[in-house]
Amino acid sequence: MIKMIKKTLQIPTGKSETITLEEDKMSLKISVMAGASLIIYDIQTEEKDTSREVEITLEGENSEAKVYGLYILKGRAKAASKIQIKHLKKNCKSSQIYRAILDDNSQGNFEGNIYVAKEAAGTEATQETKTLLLSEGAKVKALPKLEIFAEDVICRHGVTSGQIDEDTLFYMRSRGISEHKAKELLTLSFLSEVLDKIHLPDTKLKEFKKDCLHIYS
Amino acid sequence: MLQIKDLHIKADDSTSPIIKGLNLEVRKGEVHAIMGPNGTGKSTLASTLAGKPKYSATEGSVTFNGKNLLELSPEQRAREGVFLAFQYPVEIPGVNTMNFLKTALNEIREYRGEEPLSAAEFIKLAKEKNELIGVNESLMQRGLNSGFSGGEKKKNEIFQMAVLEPTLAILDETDSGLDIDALKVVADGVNRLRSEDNAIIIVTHYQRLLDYIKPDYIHVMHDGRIVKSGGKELAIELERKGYDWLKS
Repeated sequence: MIKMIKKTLQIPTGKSETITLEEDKMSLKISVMAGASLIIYDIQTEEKDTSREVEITLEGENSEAKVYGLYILKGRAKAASKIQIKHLKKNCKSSQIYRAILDDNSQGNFEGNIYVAKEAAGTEATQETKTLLLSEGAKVKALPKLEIFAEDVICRHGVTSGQIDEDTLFYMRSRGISEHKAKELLTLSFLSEVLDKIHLPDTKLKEFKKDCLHIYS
Repeated sequence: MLQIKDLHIKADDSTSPIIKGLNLEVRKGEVHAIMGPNGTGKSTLASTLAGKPKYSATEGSVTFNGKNLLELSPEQRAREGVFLAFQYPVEIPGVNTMNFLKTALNEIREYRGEEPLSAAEFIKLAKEKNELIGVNESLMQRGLNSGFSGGEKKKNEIFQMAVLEPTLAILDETDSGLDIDALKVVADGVNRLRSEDNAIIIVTHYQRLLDYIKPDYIHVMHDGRIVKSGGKELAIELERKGYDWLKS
């Protein structure tokens, strides 16, 4: 049994921080102070079980948090990711953008919560989870939850789940592109909205892309 | 180049056949028009030739340059020189048009034992080809057909045809949804791509496109078969009399 790692952090006023979640079982609480900004990468591309929970509290005005999730699940991998972002003060921004691809008998559970306190006018918050299921055995549960107590708030949320579209695949193949390559291109395009946002060293990013495409090898 | 003999086709979600014994021969350098009302099997024929998995042949044969076309995957058919301009081109946001087309061309070149084109070589070629068609260049940097108007999508099909240089191009209702200016551009592009070495099959509901692309042969489909074939003059007769006189 792997122990759940618990951590508490604070991003001080005006500072910015990028955190890549690495532990498989973890719970993280982060306070973001006034004018500070936080970026989190929640990436899981290996065949293993993970459970990650992050609670971000935007405690100071004009603070910001972005969470990018990228999950490639294969075999019997089970992943749970729960993100909660609390807007406590005015004019804070947050976004949670997740892309997940599930193959074989993998399971994914994605929960994204937004809480906007009564004092948090001028909040802008986005929560978006898109999943691509490549096999009948793969299962996904995506749950967005919004609790809004303030006025003057912009909140967007969306959850979609789908398969590779047969007509699209045929179109690409009819141009001479192999089925394999077509699926690779479609997968990368599905992930692109998150991949393009991840600023990591090129080598690291290439590794992720390779992991993403391993699903077809 | 293409011989279709007694072809019967059904869709995988149905038991009743859509094409019921169709015969057609297309030789190099020829342009054939397949006409007829909706629901007679024209688009099914076009999609089947390109290898759409939804359709399967229950009887008959299709031979393309000596090969059994029905045994080949869609990508193999494309590499052998078959091209389908879609009636409803799909939108693929996130797959850039130029990147898509370069991948396609290089897979075809590899199959033919040719060296892949570099990015610079491909861009040069694409620019040359696009002089014929005039697809808005800013669109090419976007996701394939993503947010394109109906006319732009159809132009993009012909642009792809120009780049991939098929030996057999099948245009499925390429004229539908085009205004007269776009229709002229598309027809002009097709005419310039017409040569002694390739063949074109135009599937259309209307006479209109044939005012701009002159076919060598016209075939009329009804209920899954070709019921009438003729030369250019048949189009004029159809224009005057409609299709009803051929149904009985």
